[in-house]
Parts: sequence; structure tokens; C-alpha cells
Amino acid sequence: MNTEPLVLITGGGGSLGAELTLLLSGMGRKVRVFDLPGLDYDLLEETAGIEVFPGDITDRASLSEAAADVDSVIHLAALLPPATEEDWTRTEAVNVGGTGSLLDAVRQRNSEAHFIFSSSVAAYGDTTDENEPLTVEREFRPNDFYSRSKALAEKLVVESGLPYTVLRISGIAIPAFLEPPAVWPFMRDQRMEFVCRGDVVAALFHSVGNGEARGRVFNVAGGPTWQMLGHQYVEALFELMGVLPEEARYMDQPGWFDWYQTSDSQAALDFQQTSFQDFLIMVKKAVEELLG
Amino acid sequence: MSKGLVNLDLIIEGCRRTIEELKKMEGGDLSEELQTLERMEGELEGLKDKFFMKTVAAVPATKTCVDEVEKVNQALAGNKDNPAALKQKLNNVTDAVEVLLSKAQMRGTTLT
Repeated sequence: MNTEPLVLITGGGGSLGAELTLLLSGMGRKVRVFDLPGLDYDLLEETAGIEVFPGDITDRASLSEAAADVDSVIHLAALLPPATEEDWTRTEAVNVGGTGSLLDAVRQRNSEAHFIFSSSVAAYGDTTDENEPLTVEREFRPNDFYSRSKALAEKLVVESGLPYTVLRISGIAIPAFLEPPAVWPFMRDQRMEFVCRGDVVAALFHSVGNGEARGRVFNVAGGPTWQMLGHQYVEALFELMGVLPEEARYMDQPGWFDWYQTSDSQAALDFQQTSFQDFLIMVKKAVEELLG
Repeated sequence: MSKGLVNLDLIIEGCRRTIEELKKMEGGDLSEELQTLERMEGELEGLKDKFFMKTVAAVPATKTCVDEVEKVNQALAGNKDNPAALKQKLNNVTDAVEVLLSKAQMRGTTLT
């Protein structure tokens, strides 16, 4: 029987999950990664203290096995846009049903396990009528399949009876030379506040074993330096890539991004380590490396 | 139009001239290189809609292709190269185009 604290990370095979897994493992935590079969687990499997458990979040039997002996759960596994918008039945099965099944499995194994859930600011819906940065008290008005699934899943977590921490994560900016979305998920002049991937990893990492974070919901966004209008973000990024601003395509209806009140989150989780300027410097470096 | 896309047009046009000249040639076993170039012409057309081609990173990759295609076409026009030398220049073109095709497959980002 395992006596060392074990963290289960669903979706641990994805880019965010893998980075978090390696960080936790590097800090001496035992980690069990639960994600779909067929992913590239080579690096994780080679790392001491990491166990890979291939499975499907919609398979209750494998969830029950995966939940054995866990002390903390970080639930990242989810269907994301644009796939979510194609099929509500599938989205509900994975994002809502999968969360419910995981909660059941964990409760049966350890009713004191700390359940950390990656929710999304998407659940707020269209907030363009707001005048202040959103607090976590803002009601949900989901306006698409993804936002609806996150709102429903979060409710399950909060009502589960397990000690929980909910992180409502904003759009994740990856400091690399990557192809952007064909259409940016916001209007040209919409308020938006993304967050660097490393800071999201930090927020999740600092949630583990954090008594101050138990029973609480947090907005996870970049902070004041990341608060801007959509076109300002895109134009800053495009300038580094040498792409003309007129190449950008924006939504013609509001997306679900806005500005967020994160001072409470930062106080509890100490995750805002990357300013928007820091992020641009990292992207610039990635472009320069490509140019040789 | 971005510099990358301008260069891409030059590469495609240059490859077409090369293909035309190779088809007129008698003797010399360059059929494999001809086939490769014909395939690549189609793949290069497909790059026109790629985001990568609008970025500054496309400039060095396409410039190399432009230069290598130009060297081949000058050799074909001058008819001075022996078959081995011509084959090497053609391989330089296809190598450069393969690099461009690979780089243009930029990994995408998921925001949420």
C-alpha cells in the first residue's frame, strides 16, 4: 500500500499537464498521470516518481483504479474548443460526466482527497456589459457548449463534498512560435486578459497541499499588465512574428474573455510571475532562435 | 504581400522552369529528380495559405530555396554542368524545399 502522498493528474499527458507533472515530480511528489492511450509518454515514463495510467475519463472502471491511494487530484482532462462546439453530447459526456465519474471514484477511495479543478473563465459567458474586472462572485451566463460544460462541471465539484479548489483559468498564452487561431476568440476591441502557461502551472502547483486554497474559487489570469483590448494583444504578437496586423481575424460576436480581479488568487497561490512584457521577450527569443 | 509569399511565388515559378527544361533534356538519369520536383510544385502551392508564410521566419527558408532554384536554372541555361554536378544542384533544391515544407507546418496553439 502506498504511504507517500500521491497526486493524480487527469489530462497529465497534455502540454500543461506534462509541465505540471514534471514540476511536481521534480519537487519530490509522487504523481500518477491519467490520460488517453496513444499519447507520447516517453519523457514522463522515464522520470522517477511518475506513473502513467492510460485511460479514458468516461470509463468509470479505469477511473476507480486510477483513484486508488490518491491524496490530491488535479483534474485537467477536458474537451476543448473548437471540438466542444461540434457535439454537445460528447462535450457533456467528457467535461461534465467525466468530472462526475472522477468525483465519485475519488470519494469512494478517499473522502478527504483534495480535488483541484481546472475550470474556465468561459463559464462567465459574455461579460461585455461589465465595467469592472470580474470577481468570482460574478454569476455564470454560459454562451456556448464549452462554457456550459465548465459551469456544470464546476458545480459538481463544489457540491461534491470533497475538499476542493477551483481555478477559473483564462486563455493560456504559450511563449513559443506557434500558429495562432484562425479567428481570435474575442472581438477586436473586447477586453481580454490571458495568462502565461508557466503561471497557470504555478497556480496549480501552489494549490497542492495549500490549506488556504481549500474550499475556494480563484480567477487565474495574468494580472494588470495583461489587461488590454484584443487587437492590442494580437498586434503585439504579430509584430514579433513579422505578420501584418490586417491579417488578424476577430469574432464578430463577444467571446467570453474579460479582465479579472486576481489579487485574492495571487495572495493565495503566488502564480503571477510573468508580465506581458516578459512573455513578449520569450516569444521574441523563440522567433530569433528560429531565424538562427 | 509578405516577403515569404513573394519568395514562394519565385520558388514556384523557378521550379516550373526547371521542370520544363528537365523534360526537354535527353539522356542523363534525372527522372527521379524530375518526379520529386513535380510533386514539390504541388506542395509549394499548398503553402500559400499557411500562416507561417506570413511570418518573418519564412524569409530565410524561402530565400534559400530561391537561391538554389536560381543556381539550377542558370546551370540548365548555360548547359555547362556535367550530369553529376546538375544532379547535386537539383538535390540542393529538393533539400531546401523539404526544409521549407517542414518548417511551414507550424504547431498550432490551444488557448483554453
